[in-house]
Amino acid sequence: MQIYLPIAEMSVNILLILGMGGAVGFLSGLFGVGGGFVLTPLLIFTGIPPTVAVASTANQIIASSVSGVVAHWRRKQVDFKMGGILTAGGIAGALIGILIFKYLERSGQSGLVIALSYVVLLSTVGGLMLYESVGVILRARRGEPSPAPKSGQHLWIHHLPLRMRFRRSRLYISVIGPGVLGFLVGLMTTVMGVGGGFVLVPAMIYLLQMPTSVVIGTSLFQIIFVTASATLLHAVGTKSVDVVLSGLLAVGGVIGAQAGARFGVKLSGEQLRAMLAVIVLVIAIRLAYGLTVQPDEIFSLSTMAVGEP
Amino acid sequence: MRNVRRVCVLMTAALALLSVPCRADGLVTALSQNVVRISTDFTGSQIILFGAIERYSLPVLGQATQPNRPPKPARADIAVVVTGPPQDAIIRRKGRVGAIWMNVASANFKNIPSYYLAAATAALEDIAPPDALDDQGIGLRHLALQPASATPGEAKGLRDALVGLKTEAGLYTDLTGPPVKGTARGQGIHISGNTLFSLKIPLPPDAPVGTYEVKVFLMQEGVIVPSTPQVQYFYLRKSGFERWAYKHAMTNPVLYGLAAIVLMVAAGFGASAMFRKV
Repeated sequence: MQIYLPIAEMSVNILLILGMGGAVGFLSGLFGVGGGFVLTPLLIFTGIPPTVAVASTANQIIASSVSGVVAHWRRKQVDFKMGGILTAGGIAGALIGILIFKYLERSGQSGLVIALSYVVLLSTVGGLMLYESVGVILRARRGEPSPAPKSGQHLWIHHLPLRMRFRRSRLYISVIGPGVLGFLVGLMTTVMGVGGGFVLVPAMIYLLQMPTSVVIGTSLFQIIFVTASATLLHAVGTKSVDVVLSGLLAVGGVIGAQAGARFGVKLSGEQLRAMLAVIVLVIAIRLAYGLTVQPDEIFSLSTMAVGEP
Repeated sequence: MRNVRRVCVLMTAALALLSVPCRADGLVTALSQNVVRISTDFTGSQIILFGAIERYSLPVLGQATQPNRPPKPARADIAVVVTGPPQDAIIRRKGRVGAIWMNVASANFKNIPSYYLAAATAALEDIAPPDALDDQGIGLRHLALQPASATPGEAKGLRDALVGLKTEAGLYTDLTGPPVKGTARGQGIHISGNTLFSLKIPLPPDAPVGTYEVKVFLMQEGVIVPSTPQVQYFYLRKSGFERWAYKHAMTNPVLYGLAAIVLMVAAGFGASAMFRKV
């Protein structure tokens, strides 16, 4: 069953897109990440123009983040003040990101830069997560207690000027750390089409040392605003948000996320993190391999109707 | 002959039922449709060009030299060129740099046809002088496709690659030339009874939206008959929601972006409300 995408200007198999949305939604329900880092490369493999894939994925992540935040909000697990500062940084990052994206598009290297940033980011995050979670699992097998959480210990980023109290996170730290973190995530969202949850969550736990219970809700909260501004910036800047595509992905994603969340209850935190780490690493390796092998088609064509900006 | 005339009458009647036929000296043509609509289930389409010639006779394959036949009207040939809305294109070539493959060469084309199809009833060089073919862009090898800028030394290779990619996508088609076994060459124009012809114009799913121009040339004794080409147009349009969404994405990007956000926020709230009850 084919459906025509008005902005991508091509027809795609409707079941394939729903299935992709479902599979990625399953991952996001299972691991508490947006799933953009899997979805964008998948869409590009399908033949959707990279710009449309990035912009529409950013749009779709809004839906899954909103439904996630609602659940966390009911349990009072969202630090709105922290989320606000992350968001302010994130919107600034998204603004700079769209300029970088347009520059890369003109230079013809956007595909390469997107792929390279994915490889670097995914292999770093995946490697760290795998190391950490496997360590916890092995220690548990040997019956050793896991090391005490390092909360209360202050890193240098906490002592920068402009300190502020975050009641829900039980922190009194400088706003520069979260601001810069938000900025980097905003940058990633517009350039790579990812929500940034898979970077934000570990960074909030290990760098900002927020309590784990507040982290996911707060990260989803800031992702809503950053992906919303990325959607708007892409709609204006690159005109490549395809609402038919993001709508289909959202339908599949919502159903998949519910299934994932139910399945996730059966697994422990370390097992989940180890599985996510493996998936992240596999994608990184696949992308890196793709860059080093001679492509089937060395020529690529991009066209623009005369008279369009 | 009588049979032919009857077919001709029928055909003319059929032409009258189609879009407004176009008439020039010795040539009548019509398109099966003037508007092709792209709706949600669009997977490509096809337009048919019909035509009849008067006073001349079209060549029928394998029938060119048959003795003992009543003298026929002078032979004429037909060439058809279809072009889609103009576009700018950038073609890039990947090359190995260190360990990775990246774009290393590119060429910029301005105002090239997004869609191109050429067909003729005989080998082009036999029916018209080469400069006339170049002037009118009849046949892919006569189509002016010069890059506005290109990586030095790569212009020709990139032009050929552009034609190659467009051909693969079904956007560029060259059916001119003598029939070659196993290819589409020379298979384009269907002739019946020496005076009637038809041509299928396929539109692939990613054919760009806009105005398409169909030019029909009549060639006689090695020159293009001056009253031709006869030009007709058809329009490829998005319809319904596709048209609406595309239009707003292009003309009201802020509103479109906000709508896309609101839609997803609503979807998120809807989903959490729906699944909470389950």
